[in-house]
Amino acid sequence: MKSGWFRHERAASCSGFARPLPHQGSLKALATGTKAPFIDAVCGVSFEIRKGETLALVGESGSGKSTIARTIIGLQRAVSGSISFDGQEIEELSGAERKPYLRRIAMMFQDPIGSLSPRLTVRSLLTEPFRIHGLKDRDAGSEAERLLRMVGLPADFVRRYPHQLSGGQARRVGIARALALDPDLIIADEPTAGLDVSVQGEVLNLLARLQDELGMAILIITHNLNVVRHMTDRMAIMYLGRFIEVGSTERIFEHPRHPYTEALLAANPEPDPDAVLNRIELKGEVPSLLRRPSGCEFHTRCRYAQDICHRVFPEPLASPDDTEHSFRCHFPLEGEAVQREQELLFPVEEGI
Amino acid sequence: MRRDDSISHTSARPLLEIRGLGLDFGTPRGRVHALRNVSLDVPAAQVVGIVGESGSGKSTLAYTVMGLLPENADVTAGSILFEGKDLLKMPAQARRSLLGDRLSMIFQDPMTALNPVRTIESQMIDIQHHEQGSRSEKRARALEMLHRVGIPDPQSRIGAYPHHFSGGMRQRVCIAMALLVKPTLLVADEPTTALDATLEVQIIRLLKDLQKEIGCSILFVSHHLGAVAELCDRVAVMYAGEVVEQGAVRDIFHNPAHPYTRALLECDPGRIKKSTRTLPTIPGEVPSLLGSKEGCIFRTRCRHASNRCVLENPVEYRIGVDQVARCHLLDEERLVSA
Ligand SMILES: Nc1ncnc2c1ncn2[C@@H]1O[C@H](COP(=O)(O)OP(=O)(O)OP(=O)(O)O)[C@@H](O)[C@H]1O
Ligand SMILES: Nc1ncnc2c1ncn2[C@@H]1O[C@H](COP(=O)(O)OP(=O)(O)OP(=O)(O)O)[C@@H](O)[C@H]1O
Ligand code: SF4
Ligand code: SF4
Ligand SMILES: [Mg+2]
Ligand SMILES: [Mg+2]
Repeated sequence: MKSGWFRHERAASCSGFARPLPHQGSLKALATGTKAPFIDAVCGVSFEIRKGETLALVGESGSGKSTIARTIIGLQRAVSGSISFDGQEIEELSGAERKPYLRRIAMMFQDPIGSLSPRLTVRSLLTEPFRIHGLKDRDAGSEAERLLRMVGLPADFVRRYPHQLSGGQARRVGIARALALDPDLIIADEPTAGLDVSVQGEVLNLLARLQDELGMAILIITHNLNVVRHMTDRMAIMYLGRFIEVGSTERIFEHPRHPYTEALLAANPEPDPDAVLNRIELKGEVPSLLRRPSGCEFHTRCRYAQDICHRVFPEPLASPDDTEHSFRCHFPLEGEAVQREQELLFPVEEGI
Repeated sequence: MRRDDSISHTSARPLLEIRGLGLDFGTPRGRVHALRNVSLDVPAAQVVGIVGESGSGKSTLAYTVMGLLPENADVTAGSILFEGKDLLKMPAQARRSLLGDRLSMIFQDPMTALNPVRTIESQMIDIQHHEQGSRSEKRARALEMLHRVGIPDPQSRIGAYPHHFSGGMRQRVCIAMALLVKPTLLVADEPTTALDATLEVQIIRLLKDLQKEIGCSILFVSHHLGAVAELCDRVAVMYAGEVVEQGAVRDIFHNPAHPYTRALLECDPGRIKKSTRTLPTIPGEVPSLLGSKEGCIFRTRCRHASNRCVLENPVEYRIGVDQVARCHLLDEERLVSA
């Protein structure tokens, strides 16, 4: 049973935050005193994660998923909007005040080898979180071995350096490190990319088991739709830095309402060389964040686009029988939709 | 210079022939036997997939072909014939000149290939140093290739540095760079893991088109069995440093003979239609690669292991026309090599 699905304590909620990144030309622009052009890497995104829940963030490569993660753990500041964790507004806190909160949020980074310092052994990497947070009383050696055991690596790996690990082994070290401080929220950016399907199963079963035991919330960012389908309670689909559909995973896989979601789900290759593919070809190219399309931002590639789509930005709608399932499209797939209460999942104000 | 002569699939010799390859890594704890007796063919104009356990030596095999091994690596046995010449015996200079020309690689981690302090533009122009043409022609080719791998607005992004791109965009830049040199053999180590499903499909199609266009062969390492099923002609399955089974993609997916291959396919969540919170795994621990190995490498996790599996390392047995696997269960079949 999916634990915590009915509970409503919020572990973390992020509302309406926009996170423009300076365009790479900004250095020059700043030097000459002109205003830097901004890329709205994430805009007007709003969601919450409940205790014990797993939320998936999926969507185009470059659509802002990692940016959201980095903003939650304070590596980047949100330009507007709010992030609250266990009732506390994080964006308002100073660096030092944030520390006890950030300790309860663990991040597993997307790039496993690059995110591990090359000069540290696996032992130092695993026990670094204890040092950073001043927990000197723990026995580093045995803690490192305990964490390795949790992720299924042999104890003698404590003396290895990151470059002596395979891609998958490095990933497991990253997971072990994230588990070091028993976090309440784990943000896992592509936690199983680069793992074979058996180890992937082990890692996901491990996360699920720890979640059942410890009740932590998990935000999974992944391109692996099989992982999303089996492991998550709810999912949010991003396109160009915005959520275009949010709802229960089961429901979205059964009945996607947004045309981009439909195409994304249909693109997942079947593990069968003779599979008959019912792909939905996405025509055109991914638009640049510097030149967002007018109206519905998906209209340049949508096979259902009509006149209004070029002109009018779609308001969020919801399924009549499930108000938690919402989407932004003028012509949602499969029947009826109702105007939804705006403050719930999408912000009223747009950060464009 | 390129192999564009028409090659009939059965008679011509493969573009790449790996024979009895053995490789150790020296570590303070002893020698890690990362590749043991690996034999593998990549026929001309075919896509060969390598799947298998995490840490089984797939990247090591790819690096060995490319000649990009770390210092503590030591090839202990075997040969790698590329267009009939043994890469392992070639002078370092000759070997290096193949890189970025006849041989090109997409790395598992894009930052391996990208220089963080140089712009994408200068890196993409430099990689074409074997090609004819002016700087602006090379720049135009780079833009065209960025466009084909789905980088939006390449004109305004080409001057950026790698850290300005998302993980998946960096990987696409690397794919574009590897394709720009029009290699004879492209070694792609998990090129699509960082990409969303629509892009993955797009890249698979691009690799297929390119493979037809320039007739190159591709060695495609991936954990995504769906992508392998879609792209590859042949598949090799690796476990703990050995190729335990190989054959045509249909045979491997529909009629796997080795117990590890079967277990691997059964673990693929893509096959499980009903949603589940507990995913299947292969129980037991991966064997250590230190020390000498006797018996079958998979025996500690194999349901069918017998006494013979403990004593004797299985040879390759042939199944059907074009499929071989290393498992004693296949002993009734014809013996191929000893
Ligand atoms: N430092 C930066 N400067 C400028 N642009 C950046 C910077 N970091 C990220 N971006 C841009 O912000 C957008 C979102 O990036 P992000 O890494 O959040 O994407 P993502 O959804 O995680 O993608 P992927 O699935 O490929 O990892 C991308 O278009 C990227 O190019
Ligand atoms: N420089 C090194 N020194 C010592 N051991 C190494 C070194 N590089 C790799 N290894 C070990 O060799 C084995 C094979 O590693 P390799 O990276 O080839 O695996 P892989 O099949 O590509 O795995 P993955 O699917 O996780 O990427 C692993 O057990 C790894 O720990
Ligand atoms: S609003 Fe129009 S263009 Fe946008 S997704 Fe819906 S149908 Fe397509
Ligand atoms: S040789 Fe024995 S242990 Fe190895 S795979 Fe076959 S049955 Fe299993
Ligand atoms: Mg990312
Ligand atoms: Mg690898």
